[in-house]
Amino acid sequence: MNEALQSALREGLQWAFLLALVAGYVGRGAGREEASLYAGAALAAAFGASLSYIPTLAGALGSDAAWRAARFLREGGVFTLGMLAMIVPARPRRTWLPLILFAFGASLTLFEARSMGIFVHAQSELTGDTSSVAGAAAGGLAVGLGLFVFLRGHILALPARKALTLPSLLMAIGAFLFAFGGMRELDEGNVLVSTGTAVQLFLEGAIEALQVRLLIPAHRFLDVPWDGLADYLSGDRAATTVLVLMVVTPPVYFLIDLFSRPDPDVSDLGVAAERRLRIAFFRRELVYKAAPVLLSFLVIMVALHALNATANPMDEPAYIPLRSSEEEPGILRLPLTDQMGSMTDQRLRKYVYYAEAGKVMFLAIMKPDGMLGVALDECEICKPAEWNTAAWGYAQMGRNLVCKYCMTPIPVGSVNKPGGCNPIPVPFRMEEGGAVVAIEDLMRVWAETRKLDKEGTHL
Amino acid sequence: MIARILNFLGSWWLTAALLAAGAGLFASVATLDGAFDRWAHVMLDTPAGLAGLALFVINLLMASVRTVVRRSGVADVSAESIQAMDSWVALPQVAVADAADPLAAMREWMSGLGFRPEAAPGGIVARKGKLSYLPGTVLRAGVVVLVVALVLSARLRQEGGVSLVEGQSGSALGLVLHAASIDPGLPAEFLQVGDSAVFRVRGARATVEAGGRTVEITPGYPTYADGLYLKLSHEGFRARTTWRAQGEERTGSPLLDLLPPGRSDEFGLGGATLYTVSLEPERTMSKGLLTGKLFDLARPRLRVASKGGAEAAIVRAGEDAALGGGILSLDAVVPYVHVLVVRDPALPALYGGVALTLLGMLLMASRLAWYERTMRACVHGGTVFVGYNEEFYKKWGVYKFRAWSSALPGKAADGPQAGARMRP
Repeated sequence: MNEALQSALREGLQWAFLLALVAGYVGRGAGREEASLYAGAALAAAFGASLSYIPTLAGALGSDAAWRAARFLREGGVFTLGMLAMIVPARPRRTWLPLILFAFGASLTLFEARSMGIFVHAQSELTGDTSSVAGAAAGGLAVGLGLFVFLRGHILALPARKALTLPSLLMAIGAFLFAFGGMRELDEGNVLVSTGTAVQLFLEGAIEALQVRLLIPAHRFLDVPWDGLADYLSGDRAATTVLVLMVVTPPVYFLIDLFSRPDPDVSDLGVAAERRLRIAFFRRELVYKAAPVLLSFLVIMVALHALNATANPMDEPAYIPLRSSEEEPGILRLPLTDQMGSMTDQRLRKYVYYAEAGKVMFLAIMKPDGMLGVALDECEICKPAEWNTAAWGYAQMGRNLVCKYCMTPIPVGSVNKPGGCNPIPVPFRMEEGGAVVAIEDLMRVWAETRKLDKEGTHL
Repeated sequence: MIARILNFLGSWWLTAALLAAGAGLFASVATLDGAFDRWAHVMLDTPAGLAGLALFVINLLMASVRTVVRRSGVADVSAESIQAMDSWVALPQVAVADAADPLAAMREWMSGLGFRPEAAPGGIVARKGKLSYLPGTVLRAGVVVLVVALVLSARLRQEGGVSLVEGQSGSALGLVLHAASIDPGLPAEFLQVGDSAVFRVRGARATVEAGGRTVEITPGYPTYADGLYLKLSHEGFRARTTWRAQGEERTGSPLLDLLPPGRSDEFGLGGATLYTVSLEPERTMSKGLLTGKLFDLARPRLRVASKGGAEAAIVRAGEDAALGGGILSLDAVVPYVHVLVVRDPALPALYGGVALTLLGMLLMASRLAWYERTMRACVHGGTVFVGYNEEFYKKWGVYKFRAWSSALPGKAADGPQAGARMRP
């Protein structure tokens, strides 16, 4: 019940904020338009929330993936409309405004309302207490939206148009939706994460296709021209750069356009103080208009940082115990396919071997070049305290291993390379079905590691 | 009507719409396996995709034509056109020195500011950065060439290949090839410490007789011979192998993909038996945490194991070893190269398109400082109109013109009208 209350309160507050922005821009005296906005939002919220209770209708209106795609389209579309509104000043006919605001209000609430309906429905079934859960959700929404209702008069009295223009309003709403769109509880994905992934897929495919067309495709070991550059351009850094440029360019363009306006010509004013006043007034107006876009820029920066964490969560698998078999007493076999799946998924695997001398923890991972990397789950440098077990070893973050002690990212491709923060390589050989590690080799490397005088770090 | 259509065909809106359509198409397949290949198939192999690309090419060409025509032409100068510029002033003709020929005074004033005024219908025009449209035009031309070349290459390319050892002949795409000499570029010894990915081969090359010519092929850029492009696309070892047991003999010359060291391959010898083979180091050295393996790549040792069996034999060329109840003889281990043979008339255009696009992108950087600045002047109804435009940095252009024009004769206290266009 608490989860339903919290999530509904949060969504209510978000809707209140968005409706306040639009209502403030629409302004006092536009009763019909304002009513249309609220009507659209309310009807869409009611419709969306009820969908999970009408399975036939919900099924007919598309899968979760389709709804997610539509939500992404909404978020990207609102943001892009802001950019377009800068280039082509929008002057819709007054008679269309109520309809436009109705549709816009509906788009602000529909998707999150559907998600909330699904969440509340699931919570009800889990707890078996529909009325309490639904009541809590309704209560949370009421409190969140009630804040807007309570402050509506004050909001409408604000001179919002001093700060908000149509482009900056749309950009601010778009940026807000980038960061807070969807419902966190349902793990519905983020439009920036999906766009970043799509950009990377495109760049990888395009660069590889171009190399093949030019008859200079990358090779496992033969040096080919421009291999390094192609590798860089198809990497996640290039993709992230493109994504950042895509989302940052509109607000930056807006600010450049805004601050590129020349001061008014005051040469006709005889009094210097009047000239200064006119120029100061003009510049103050520019600052007011820049404020929403600067805030949008900040929200986008926060969302992009969160994207990086979401796209590359830290993944640390549990240790799989290994022992030698009676038929092959001196070796440990690391199967290519195990309970975690196939190693070709390039996910980290961790193993533990219980020797007389102690526990030997080591890892294995398939590298991007298709070769396997096997190493101890420690490096030559870091020395966490004995009690700090959470800081021992490596976790996987995207295409890197990360030392949990010093948080240094190690590209997966460099596993097996000795030295520095890299995990200490363990000799192995490949056989059919997986890798084979001689226990003698494993113990030798482990024993040598124990002899190292690790300075550690100050952490 | 035709002018409107042509304008639309060359408009940036159409460019944006086409790019958005392409991006939307990719987004629709991004979650599927082989997303890029699916997208490329639609773009290059379907009528709708080809139509979209054709429209894109037309759009870029028309945009370039529109830009070149607009920037090269001499525009009419009028009071209305001057008042539509970023900033302008209007001076009483009588206030200007040499009131009988005020344009001469304006010409002199403009020359003093570093402009070179020219006569134009209705007045005078002075322009700097007239050719600054060139970087964009080069970029658009590069993209056009690249797109057209990609479409042609996708439809016309034929590929074949043949693996050859030194002295061997083979054919691909109707071309007979003879490998006169092969230099695999492999080091005689390779010390592998840790990562096998440090193994990089530079300098691999082969001399091939093709179509009556002798050409050298490398893993780098393709070599042209007799209408075809040749390239050294892979290399490995060929092992002439014999297995004998109780009157049974099986021979074979499998091509083994064993590089970089550590990689294994499989081969069969005329029967159901399959063998797994990998390069065997000469020595394995351990010092502290490091383990190094020394491989002799000039006369490699091979580790041959029966597939699925525990038995393995280590042999070098010219040696025998017991394996699988018989004797395995490794008669010779020689390097082979795989020659990729491609017929693609669009390949030079592909390279040209890439080069032109890159050149255009580099030249675009010059646009930060290289842009058009226009000054115009005309006389209308006893008033001299002077206006100024900058393609970029308009705010500073307005400030500059205000400073310049403050020195204009006639811009006195009860002064002229002036204006500057500011965006709402």
